[in-house]
Amino acid sequence: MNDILFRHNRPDRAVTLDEYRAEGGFQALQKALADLSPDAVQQTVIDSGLRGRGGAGFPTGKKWSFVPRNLPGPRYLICNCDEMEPGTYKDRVLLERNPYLLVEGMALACYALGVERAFIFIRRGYELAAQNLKGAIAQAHKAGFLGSAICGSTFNLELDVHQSAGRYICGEETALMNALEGIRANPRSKPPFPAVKGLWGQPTVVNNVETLSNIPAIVAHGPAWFKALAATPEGAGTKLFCVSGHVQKPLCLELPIGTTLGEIIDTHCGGMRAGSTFKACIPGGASTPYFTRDHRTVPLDFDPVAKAGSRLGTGGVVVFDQTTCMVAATLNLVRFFARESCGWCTPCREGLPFVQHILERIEAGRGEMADMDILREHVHKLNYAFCALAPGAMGPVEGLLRLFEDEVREHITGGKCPLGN
Amino acid sequence: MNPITPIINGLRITLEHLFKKPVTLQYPTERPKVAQRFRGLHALNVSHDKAKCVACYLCPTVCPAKCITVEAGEDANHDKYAARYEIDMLRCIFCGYCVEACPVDAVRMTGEFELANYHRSDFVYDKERLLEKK
Amino acid sequence: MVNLTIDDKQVTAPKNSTIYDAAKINGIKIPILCHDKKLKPFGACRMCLVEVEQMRGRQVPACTTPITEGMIIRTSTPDIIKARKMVLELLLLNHPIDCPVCDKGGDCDLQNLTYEYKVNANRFSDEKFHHEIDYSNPLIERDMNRCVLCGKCARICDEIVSFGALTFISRGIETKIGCEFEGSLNCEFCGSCVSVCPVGSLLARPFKFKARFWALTNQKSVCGYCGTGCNLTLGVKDNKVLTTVYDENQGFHNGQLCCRGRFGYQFINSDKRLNTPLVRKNGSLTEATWDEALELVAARLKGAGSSAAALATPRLTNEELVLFKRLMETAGSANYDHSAGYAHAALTEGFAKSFGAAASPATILDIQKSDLLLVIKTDSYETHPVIGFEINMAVKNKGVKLNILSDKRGKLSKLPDAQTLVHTPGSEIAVINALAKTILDDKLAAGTAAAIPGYADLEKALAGFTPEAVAGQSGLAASAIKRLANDYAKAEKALILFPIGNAYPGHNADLASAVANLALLTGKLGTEGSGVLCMAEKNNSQGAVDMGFYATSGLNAGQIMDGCASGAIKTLFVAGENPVVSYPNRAAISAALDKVEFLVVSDLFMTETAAMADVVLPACSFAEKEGTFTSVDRRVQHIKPAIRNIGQSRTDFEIFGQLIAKLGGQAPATPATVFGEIAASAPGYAGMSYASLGETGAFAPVAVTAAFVVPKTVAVEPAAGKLALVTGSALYHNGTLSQFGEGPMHVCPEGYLELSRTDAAKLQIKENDLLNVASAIGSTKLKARITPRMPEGVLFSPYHFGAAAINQVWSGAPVTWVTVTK
Repeated sequence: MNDILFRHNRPDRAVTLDEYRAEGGFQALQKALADLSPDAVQQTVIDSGLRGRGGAGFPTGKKWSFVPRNLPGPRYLICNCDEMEPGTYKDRVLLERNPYLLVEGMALACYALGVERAFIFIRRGYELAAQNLKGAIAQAHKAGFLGSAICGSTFNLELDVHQSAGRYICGEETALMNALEGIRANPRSKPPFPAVKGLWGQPTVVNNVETLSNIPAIVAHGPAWFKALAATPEGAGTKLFCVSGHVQKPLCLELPIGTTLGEIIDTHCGGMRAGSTFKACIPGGASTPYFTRDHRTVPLDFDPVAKAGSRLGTGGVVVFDQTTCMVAATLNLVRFFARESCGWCTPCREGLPFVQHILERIEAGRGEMADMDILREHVHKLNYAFCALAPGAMGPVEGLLRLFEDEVREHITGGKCPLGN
Repeated sequence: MNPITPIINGLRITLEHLFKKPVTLQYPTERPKVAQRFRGLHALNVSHDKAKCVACYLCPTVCPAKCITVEAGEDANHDKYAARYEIDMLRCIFCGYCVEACPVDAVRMTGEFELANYHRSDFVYDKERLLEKK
Repeated sequence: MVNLTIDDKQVTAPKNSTIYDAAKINGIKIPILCHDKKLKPFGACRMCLVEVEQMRGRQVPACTTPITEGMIIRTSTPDIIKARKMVLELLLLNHPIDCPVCDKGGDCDLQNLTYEYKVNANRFSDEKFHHEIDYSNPLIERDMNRCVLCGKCARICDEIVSFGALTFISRGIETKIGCEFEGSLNCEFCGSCVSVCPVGSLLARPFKFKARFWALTNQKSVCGYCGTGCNLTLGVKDNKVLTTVYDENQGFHNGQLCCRGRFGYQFINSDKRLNTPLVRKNGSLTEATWDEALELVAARLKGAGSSAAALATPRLTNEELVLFKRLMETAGSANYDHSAGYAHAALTEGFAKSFGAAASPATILDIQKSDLLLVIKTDSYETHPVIGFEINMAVKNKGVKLNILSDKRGKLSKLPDAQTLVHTPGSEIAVINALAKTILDDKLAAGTAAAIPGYADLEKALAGFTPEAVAGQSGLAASAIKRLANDYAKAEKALILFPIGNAYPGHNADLASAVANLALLTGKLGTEGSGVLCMAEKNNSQGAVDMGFYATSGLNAGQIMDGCASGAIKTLFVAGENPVVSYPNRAAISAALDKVEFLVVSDLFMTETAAMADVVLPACSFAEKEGTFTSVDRRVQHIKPAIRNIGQSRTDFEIFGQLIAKLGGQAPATPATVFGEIAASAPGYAGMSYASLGETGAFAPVAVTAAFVVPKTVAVEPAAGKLALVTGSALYHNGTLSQFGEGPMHVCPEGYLELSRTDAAKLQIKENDLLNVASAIGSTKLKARITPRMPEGVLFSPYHFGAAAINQVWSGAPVTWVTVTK
């Protein structure tokens, strides 16, 4: 079911502007500019119940509403396409197939927010996506969907693609703004929040690619239609799930939000690989605690997943089979986060490598029982880091200690990895 | 009480001591046995042919008699060492705080107690004189 | 005010404060590592975590979280203590525990917090860092192994010093503080980074291993270099000033110092200090007793009348200058002066006429309160670096607009949105007149201006100074002049700053009048954030003017020198000045001093001038005496002796007092008595006493009686084929005294000739080439320094150095035409 995001996809190439328009593209923008006030667009998004697809799941309309109405000076919209979360590749698939959706979504968002200059902050590795975007922006310019007096209205907009120098922390919205300003990509302290004081000190909204790409459909079909797309009554819309790991068909697919984990793996990914049985998975990118067999019936939507002790995050599902050592898997993730820490605050800079070293010791069979307590303490205290990186990094560790305590214990008592790694 | 008893008691004690080993020593021909924990003349410990002292200034700081003078220097490796280390034995009260304060076990107190000298200046022990003798 | 509860205590704090500030003003201590009151909140160390009930008991950093009404904050619950302990444990994970050899021991924030939170043993252990330690720099040692990455060094270098020498490098656990491309430190060496470093990562190398902090006696004083009036804390041990100690609560500048203030103290205990009086016998200076030397001097001065003359350095205290003046009066002479006779003219002639007072009608504190700064010469940063920091902060934090009128670009030109108008050397007065003309023509003058005496004359005199006319001679665009005039006149508050000093002969009475005219025309005077600040060169230059230690009825410095040469002056008493190096035209000065019958020099060192003397009296530095200094903005500050006199040296106060007694006069007993006299007579000083000055000093108010004075302009005629040499101050030096400070000499050991890239290319000069610089009066050899800031055809050279001195070439004109050959 490809209702919104993958609706225009061609199997082997990006959609062209003509094709996109032929299938209803840019009609939402035209409609909004002709008939709707910016406030009406914003209200539509609020009503739609759209939640940010970048990981935190913050209601998008609410985020927009934080931008002060009457502040002088420019305001900015930034599309966060610094997709660096291990196990997540949805934005890439989306942009490599259909960059116009984002362009139109951003145009609508900018219209709603009164933004005249917006940036797409794209990961350096996404060369094709960046080229697509640049092409799409040029085409949209030519067709009059960007630039000045768009579609005959008084609305002006310039879109810039900024290719990041590449760092995981750039995905953090305030670090992203720093990077965009040309300074070291450290997160900024909040408050002040970006909506009040963001890029160059001006009100700024940062949204994910997928979030913004949903806007045209919401504006075109209305909030009720969007809500009805979800698999659960509480949810709204569809979600891109990136499945990888020990399944038959790892892929990125658009499904109603709230589809259960079991359904995704069994129905859409062809089940586990031959000889594999499901042991655990990461439900939403590297920074989320694990799901086990018991969680296969959990609808993958923000609230149910949170209730089940994890986070929906980006929807990057990484599936592990019985041969996976969970300590090694966690170590692998923590190693990534330790490397990607910006080095700004003490708990993250010093704590993550330390956790990494403890996990290395445990995995090598040199762990001690006291290490588990130290890990638990870190899971708790690293929450007080400057930004969400360290708490996110502790997600898998928390999951490991909660769900696979016995396996960790076996490592320590047995003096080696029980799976023979 | 019989007036003679105390005298006899006294004589008994005297007699007993006549046959006991004397507590005094025929110094200097006889040498006392100095206890392990005796606090005598200081010595600077040596490691790798160098004084262990890193000139941290904790001993002069803690010294209640203010008899220790340290001056730090920088060696070729940019490390800190005691370019000057002096203890004025006329002022020292042999409390041993310097030993206790030392973070690198660089100073200890030896059993050496014969500190007599002819000149006041000779009581100021410099680093060379304090370095432990092998 | 906001009401909130901290640790069950009802408190109030100003709006916009952070939790940390609110706790601090209410006497509740929250531990910090990365926070500094001078810097923007950072929030990285996580030591200051507190619990806020409204945030569901979440732990938030106190230093970045703003307070809100009704907030309930807990600063030391068991969980918070545990979190802080863990932060310390994590920091100590990689921190080398080399406290015994670390100079920061005893003054280390990490050590103190570790002690306070009883982190006796670390439950965690991990590998330590092995960063290479930078020993190569003579002033700042960098050991990144000890770093806790609070970022204060990088932030202070950016936010206050505005240099940006240090920054974060790499990420994650490998993050460290370093210079660009991991190079070596090559900066202003103000040592701000060292001062704020909470651990032993950045250390002052001149103080390395010299003493422990707890062994130092801290003596508060006032810096003896430039006129900013920065407060210093001298770290004294065994009668030696071993270092300057950072105190963030000291002075208007919050303990900020420049290179010479922080690293230039070594002259106080220098081995080169004079210890005994010297008397010339059989042609050579030999040691003598004080009695013998003073007798000789007294005999020469007695009844000498106008054949005696005196030159003093404005580094002396107010009390000493008063006494020196009295000594000369007792001898019957009115020939006394300071600063080459011209370096104070902007005050004593310019402001005296324009404002009716020989002082600046503005203070340093106005800089950050202004809307627009007009700085004459980028050198203002070099001459008074701490005032420069104020400008940096005004521009970067307060959004103050910065306009610069200069003959070269400089550090200040690099500030955000700074507008630098680079004019041809020597044309500044014409440009300022053109500004005044524009203000008149564009009807931007304040309504009150026409009522000020001299308005009509000024209007007439300015007729020829249309922007278009001045544009030609100054090399500026007429539109730029007009725009600047408009910006200045239209700003609500505007402040003009300009430096004066021996090296700036062009900054004379006329420039002062021209500048004063601008302020008077637009009414930018007398209100907060507006005015004119004349930045005098030395620590008590303003005081010397206030004490009247300059030629009024007698000869000025230049005439005294002429008198020496002609034989009219037979006895010359030089106290602290070094005319051979610091006055223009070295050959003429040397000849004059050679000629004078009897030369007495009281100084700290055997200077080039002292070497020519008949009697040399060893004087004391500022660290050994009591008295008052008056800063450029007339802040009168009291100094007390930090150490006992070095050797047999005596303070100038004692020297002058004893001479007065020998001449039969009445010598006052203590500096306090003299200050009492000053308070009774000097304008603005009324009511002051040592007790009332306190630690912060007191401003002597300036009463302005405005008048327009028509400034004379002398057109600088270009000499064909020659380059224009302008003199000035180097950032690391002040006068000739800093030659005896090790720090400044490490960074800038000798004079140099700065020239533009174009000229260098034309003359095929490479960096550090030894150049022969020749003018009409002589020549010298200087090393080339090629910088992008110099305009074509203009050369710059600092004047502080005795060897290869620029005054062999420099005649005392604002612009000297020279030829440069390899």
